[in-house]
Amino acid sequence: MQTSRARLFKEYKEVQREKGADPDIQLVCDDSNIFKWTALIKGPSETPFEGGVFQLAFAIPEQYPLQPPQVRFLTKIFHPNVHFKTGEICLDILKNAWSPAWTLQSVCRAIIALMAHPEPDSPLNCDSGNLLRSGDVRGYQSMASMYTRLAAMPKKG
Amino acid sequence: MAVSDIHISIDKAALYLRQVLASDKYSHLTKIPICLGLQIEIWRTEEGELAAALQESINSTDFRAIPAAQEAINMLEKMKPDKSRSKGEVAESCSICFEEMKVLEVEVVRMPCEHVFHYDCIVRWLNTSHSCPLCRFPMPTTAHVSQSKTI
Repeated sequence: MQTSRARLFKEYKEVQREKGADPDIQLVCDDSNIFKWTALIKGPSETPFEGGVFQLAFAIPEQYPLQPPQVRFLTKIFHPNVHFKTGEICLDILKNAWSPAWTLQSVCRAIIALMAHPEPDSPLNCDSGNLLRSGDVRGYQSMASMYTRLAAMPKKG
Repeated sequence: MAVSDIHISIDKAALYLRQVLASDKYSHLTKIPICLGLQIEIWRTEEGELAAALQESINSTDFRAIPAAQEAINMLEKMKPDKSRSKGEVAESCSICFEEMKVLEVEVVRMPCEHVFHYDCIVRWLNTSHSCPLCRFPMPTTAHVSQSKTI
């Protein structure tokens, strides 16, 4: 059996078993393709993303877990390390710091941690990075929470 | 007779020449030699450059790590999981494939950092990257090996 498929199946079973164990992450495997997953993650509290629910899309390479999954935000987010248009994420563990001991679940946790602790010095969203680098935390937070309200919260009325 | 060195943009050159030719100053001349020097400046919007650079970095999703040296991989000692137990703790499952490790038939390997993996799994990983999946302990790379040989 193909290693990646077997490994993903293990992760699938683990996700089913641990369902609800982490209320901030809801990982769902595509019905017909184990290499496609989506996740809903809750914006961490005391951040401008609080109250928002963000959708992630995972595309898993054939060489998984020797190669990292490709992950991007489907929900628009204003964050220095997320591309505003494509949702691409700049995170070391998704690039050179990848290790096969990571799982899709732990990648979600790492992304939640990144939301709470942006790295403005390696920005994919320069506007967002520049606000933080220039010390305008208030400006950053107000932009980020505006987009959280616009894109990651249920529409009122 | 030189008029002067003037710097104007090319779209204004025709208008300027017409003014020169129409002026009384040169009405006595039948031929006016003109020397043109072209200076080309290309303006790219910073935004366009940034977008192109970003797209490029995004597209390069291929994961490039430095593999461990073949010599280092060959030096790993294969063993049966029951034997490895006497030396120290063996985790329930291999952190690469997540399958059990205490199954007697499958050979395991203890890395220098004491972490144990299935032999086949860790060899495949070390051919991709030289760091331990659990603690990032760096195994020697080809660069290290060739260095130590020359010393």
